[in-house]
Amino acid sequence: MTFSKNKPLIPLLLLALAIVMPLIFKHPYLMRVVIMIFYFGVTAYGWDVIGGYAGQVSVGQGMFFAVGAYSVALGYLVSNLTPVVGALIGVIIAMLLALGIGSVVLRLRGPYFTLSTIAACEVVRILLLHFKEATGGPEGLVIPYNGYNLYALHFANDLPYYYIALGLLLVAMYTCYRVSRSKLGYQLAAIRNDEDAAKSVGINLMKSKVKAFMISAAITSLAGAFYVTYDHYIDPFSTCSNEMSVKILLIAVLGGRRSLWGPLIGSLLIIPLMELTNAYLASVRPGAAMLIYAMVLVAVVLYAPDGIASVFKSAGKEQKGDDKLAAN
Amino acid sequence: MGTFFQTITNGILIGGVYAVVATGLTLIFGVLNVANFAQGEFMMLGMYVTLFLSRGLGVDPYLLTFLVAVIFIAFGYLVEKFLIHQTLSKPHETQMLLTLGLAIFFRSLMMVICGPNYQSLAVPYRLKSLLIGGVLLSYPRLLSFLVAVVLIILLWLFLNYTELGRAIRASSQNSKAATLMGINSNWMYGIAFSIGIMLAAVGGLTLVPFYYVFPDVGVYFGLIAFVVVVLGGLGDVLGAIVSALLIGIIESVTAQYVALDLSHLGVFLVFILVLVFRPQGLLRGRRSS
Repeated sequence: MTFSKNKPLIPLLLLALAIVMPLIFKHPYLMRVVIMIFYFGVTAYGWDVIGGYAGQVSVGQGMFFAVGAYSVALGYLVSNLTPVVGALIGVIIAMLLALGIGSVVLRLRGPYFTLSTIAACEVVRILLLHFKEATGGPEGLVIPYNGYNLYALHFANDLPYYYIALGLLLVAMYTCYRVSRSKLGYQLAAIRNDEDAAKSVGINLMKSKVKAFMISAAITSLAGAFYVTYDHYIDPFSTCSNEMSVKILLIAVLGGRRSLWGPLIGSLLIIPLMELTNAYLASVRPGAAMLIYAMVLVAVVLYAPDGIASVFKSAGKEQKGDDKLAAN
Repeated sequence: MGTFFQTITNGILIGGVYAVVATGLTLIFGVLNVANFAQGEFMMLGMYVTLFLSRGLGVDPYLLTFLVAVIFIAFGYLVEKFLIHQTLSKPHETQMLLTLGLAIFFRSLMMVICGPNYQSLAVPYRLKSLLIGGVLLSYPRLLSFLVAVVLIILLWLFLNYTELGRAIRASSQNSKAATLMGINSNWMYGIAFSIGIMLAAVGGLTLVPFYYVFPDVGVYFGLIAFVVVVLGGLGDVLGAIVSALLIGIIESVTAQYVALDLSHLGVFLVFILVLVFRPQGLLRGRRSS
């Protein structure tokens, strides 16, 4: 994996560190937080494809997360499918959902796309709550744990989950990187800068945007599929909600849009803080954590639109592959 | 048949509140070209301010309409001047992210101050209602509708018969041309935004006597306001009013005849159908989006 060809050392060192770290530090809670950082990182990379590269702000990513999670849970509980197959089904459903929503609203400019992602997420949650027989309604679904079972991806400790999450993160990062360097990535950049100009040089606006949305949905649903496999539990409120969609957006935007490290940096900063504030502040002042993030979000949007990654970038001169030209 | 008329009436009564909140949203969109994702949250703030003032002063919430309106005109003006205005020349996604950030900020701020609890205001006429032709009109809902109607008439008079109102409409139709005619568009942005926010807050005020107040109350109302605005055509005030009543009716009919927990689903289905078939709005002729 050559993210930055002139300095491949730093990413490789980080990767080596990520692989070795859990073998040295065996702190269960810490490992749990790192796993969360990984799968929320995955969702943030998923967001970046549509919200960053395609410039279409999605506030409904929670529905793709839920689609992935429910596909795995229902696949396992109803048809005894292994989560691997469930996750693939989830990816397909999520992509179809994105295709459906995208082909209706991505032809329109303005706030329509953002609105329909919010509405679609609400619709999916209402449906999940309504069809109680299948989805468990508000109580959600529990996947019973009966000891080690490779087929069901049930492990006795968190170590295997750690490596699965790390693998998913690498896949998400690599997909994002590939998208940014592909023909699609350049088409999206052209659309972002000037839709009319992009159209005039023969770019199919709809097709490019819908493709980006489908890739974004697929990545996000994988994170959801992992979440339910790891947590053995899912309910509509914690996944298919405005709160979840906003959280995913926050991580990506705070970390930095359209940057290789941005979403991971966002996740690294937000998830531990969220855990800390949940542990120490939630009982005293619910909402305190979100208040801080909202203020940071407003500040980032106004003063550092490229996110926190850009601050690191200017401090360390070059951190991402895009800087090849600047470095020479 | 009685149930049917009752259902329609309930829909129209709540539609009045939707109309007020959505008119504010469409005004902001028309003049500033900003999709205000914090509209529902401004409504929520209006509810809390009304609740506190009403409890503190011991005054009926509907008598506070003028005071709340003034407070939020000032508040909206400051928000526009110090935050929204900074992003007007930037890409649309920047403005969306800013208003989304504001929405989360207000929601969590009220969560920190008041907690997640549902609060309500006990007014003496809370459970009283009027019976006309077999249809029950609950007093608080009726009052809320009346305040909404008066507010919309006042807005209409303001937009059509005052110099400032005409300037706002001019900026909304063509900001550049309006500037060339000597209209200070920066001033218009501030005015339109503060009126839009005031409408959201007063819409919230009218809900206080019969609705629970909690930090997330604005989420659904904000979404409804957007559905209404899209249905009526972005930036179209009259369209917003008509579609608000329509949305109120659709919601109430779905709740009565399909399933109570699917009432929101009916509204969103209409939203999707409109986006597919008439994205320029139900009432608009050939003007494309």
